[in-house]
Amino acid sequence: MKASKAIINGIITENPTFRLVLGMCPTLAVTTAAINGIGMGLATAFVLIASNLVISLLKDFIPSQVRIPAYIVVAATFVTVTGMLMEAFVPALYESLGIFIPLIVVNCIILGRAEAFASKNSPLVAIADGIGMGLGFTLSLTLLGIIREILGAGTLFGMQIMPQAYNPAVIMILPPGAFVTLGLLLGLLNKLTAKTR
Amino acid sequence: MSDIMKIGFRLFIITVIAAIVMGITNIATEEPIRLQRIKAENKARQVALPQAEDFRQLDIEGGSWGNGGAEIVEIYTGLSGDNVVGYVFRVKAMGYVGDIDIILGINTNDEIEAVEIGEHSETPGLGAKVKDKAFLEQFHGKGTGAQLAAVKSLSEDGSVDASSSSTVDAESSATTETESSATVDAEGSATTESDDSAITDTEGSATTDTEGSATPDASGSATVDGSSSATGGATGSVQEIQAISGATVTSGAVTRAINLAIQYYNQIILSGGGY
Repeated sequence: MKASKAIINGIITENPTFRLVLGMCPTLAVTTAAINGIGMGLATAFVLIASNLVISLLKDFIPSQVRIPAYIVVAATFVTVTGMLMEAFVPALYESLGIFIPLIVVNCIILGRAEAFASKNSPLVAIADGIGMGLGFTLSLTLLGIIREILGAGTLFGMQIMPQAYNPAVIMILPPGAFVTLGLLLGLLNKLTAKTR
Repeated sequence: MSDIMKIGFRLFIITVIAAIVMGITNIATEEPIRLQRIKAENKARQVALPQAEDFRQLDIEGGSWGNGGAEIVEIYTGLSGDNVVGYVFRVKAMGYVGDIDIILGINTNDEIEAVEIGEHSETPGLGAKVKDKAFLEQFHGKGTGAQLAAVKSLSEDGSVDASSSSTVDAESSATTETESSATVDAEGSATTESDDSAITDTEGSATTDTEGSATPDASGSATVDGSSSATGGATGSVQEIQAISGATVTSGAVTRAINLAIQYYNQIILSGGGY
């Protein structure tokens, strides 16, 4: 598979949120505002790219019987190192993403791509897959965040955009709003892609 | 057997490399992280007491200071040069969902300088609004002479007397309620709040209030109220804070935490303790 194709694949064809339905826990939990979606998405993308690269390089070294623990160790190492470096040198960014960073370890996109893609492809294509999947995840989370923030708080990226008379539907930024928005978006995208097929 | 050894050895190598990488990162970042944390903590204290440049931690009198719903976690003396310019309290209070971390500064004019909310887990859009400036700035400049109360709507003269206290949040202001107003309160707040998340709590405390009004107030508030009037601070009047609509429990918790700090300030710090 070519690198450019791997990127498009991650953003559209196999979008992790709307096509693979992976990483639902952070997707539902953090998308209360658009900026959270971007933060979580980019942090995940960084770890995904790094772990895809390392796992692709190590694919002949890691015995298949213990590949899952090996993948977890690699992902956890990157998450830990990223967290420590961010806290030490970019504390403002760390503060706004703080709680999301450790959550990346348990994001099954990381493990899923390591198992399904990086361990079977060359390092360059594995990086491209990480970029594509990471961007796809970021865009999906941001879209969810935008919808929920506008309806649930009347703001977008913290700025008031709905008229003052609009009474925010608080349920949209509570857990039920996450499920409702995700469900409707999944259904909508399925309908759209079914037509074009 | 040799297969198992080989697999185990390779996994071991991976974990050793991972440990080394993390160890090196830890060594490299330990000191910057420690400095960042101190800076962040001082910054939070400085928001509460901007005129202070340095902070020195005080021991809490008797080891701990609290009541049913709130507890003082840390107290700092704010210093500018060698002069004491005020005190910063970190108080933990039980909100609607969980503990709320409240940081407040009291200056040497016996006024609340500023209030900040740290970690909390209140409901977004409801209780989490206690972080809003509009709510927190109400506390700024309030004197430590009288207790504070979160109310659903402010009365005209800004202080509550016994007869107008029907609007007062049942939980945080049981001090001034008389028998008749407590009944109004119970009914009034139970109905007006029926559309928000505080419903269970409000109803619960309102009922207690009504029943207990023939005798002095129910347990939790009795400690704070009793002791604060003992210091001569409260003279039956209460300073009002506009509670957040739909989040009276959380608003009450923040107010209660601040009252606790005021109580400590009046009883211990002003009487020369804690230096």
